[in-house]
Amino acid sequence: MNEGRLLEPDSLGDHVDRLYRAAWGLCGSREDAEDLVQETYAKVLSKPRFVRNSDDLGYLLRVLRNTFYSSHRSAMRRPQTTAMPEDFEPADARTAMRPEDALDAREVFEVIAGLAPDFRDALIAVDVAGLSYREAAKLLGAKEATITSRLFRARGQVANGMDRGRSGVVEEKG
Amino acid sequence: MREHDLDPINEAQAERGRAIVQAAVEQTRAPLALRERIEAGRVRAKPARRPWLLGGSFAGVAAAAAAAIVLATGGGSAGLSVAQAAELAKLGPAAPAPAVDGSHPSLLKRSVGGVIYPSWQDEFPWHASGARVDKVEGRRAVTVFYENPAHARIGYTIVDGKPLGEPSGPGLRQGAEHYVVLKRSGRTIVTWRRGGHTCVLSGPASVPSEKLLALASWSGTGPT
Repeated sequence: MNEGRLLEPDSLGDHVDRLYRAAWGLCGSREDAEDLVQETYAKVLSKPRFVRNSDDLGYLLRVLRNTFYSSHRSAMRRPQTTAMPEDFEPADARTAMRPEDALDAREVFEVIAGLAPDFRDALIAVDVAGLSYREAAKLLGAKEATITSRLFRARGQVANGMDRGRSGVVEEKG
Repeated sequence: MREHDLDPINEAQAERGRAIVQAAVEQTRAPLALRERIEAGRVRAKPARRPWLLGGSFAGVAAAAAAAIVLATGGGSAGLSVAQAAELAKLGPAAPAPAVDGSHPSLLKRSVGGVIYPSWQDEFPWHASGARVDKVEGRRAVTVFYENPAHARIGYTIVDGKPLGEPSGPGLRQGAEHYVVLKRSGRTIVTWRRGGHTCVLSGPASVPSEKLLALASWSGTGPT
């Protein structure tokens, strides 16, 4: 028999920050990340959920990831649209006057979202959501050694991506 | 040199990438608006999720579901009750704790209807650890959470608007305020009226009622 327990809503609020960061890394956009997290919570809260052991975060991340991929697949089947200038929020603009650290965070999550899915998912699970290698391997259905390898490469690609992104901004302005 | 290297990744690049991600993670928190939307969803989903609060056997789940119906309806037509308001403390924080008022260290920078939340940390080993805002039975209720070094957590809820009906129970009178002590679902509750609003302090059974009374009636330089 499975030793399950009901997911405790008391603890769900503790994971909002981690889920939001993970969602931002998946989507590359704060607005989309907010929608994804909200949709994830709506699904989880829609009915009682059984989880094994104490892995609430792993369960939430699994729902988040599944929701992202199902939404992403649906979106890919629809015509792609480009935001018009009036949809552009200055608070999120690359050229807006923002504290340097906030600008960096947005750039970092954009770079993460642009990684190949396997690398991105490993990096989000471990570095963004804070799972152990073992937990990440379980979440992603991969071996720990695979996670280690993907994570290593993903980290390097983030460093490279930030360098390229920053030089790209300079070129655009010039 | 390696300025044009895209791959392979070396140790230094990987470490730099890890540090970049870590810095971004440390400065990123979910927006308050998102937290509030999630909490609103949780409140709306209350009948469905109430069984989770008590967990355990299916018999327990069924009993909790029945209790949830009573909670959602107030058990009648009297509107929000003190027991319902006390339930909010069990849901946990959904937002960061209010800051301590630098010019009045016995107060936090958060109030409801002019009633200011206390900062006990200079007097008692309880510090503000989070907050949440709910709307139950059409009434806005703001809860600030406090934790002690043993990680026990209590919730201080102030219900906006006219005071709720005062429950009967043993209590303490101090000055113009009357503090009533209740036991509900394994928790200890102290309620009183301040500034025309109902205040509710709710904690786990591990926190004795005397301690909650001391916290509730503490005036410091503040609310009373």
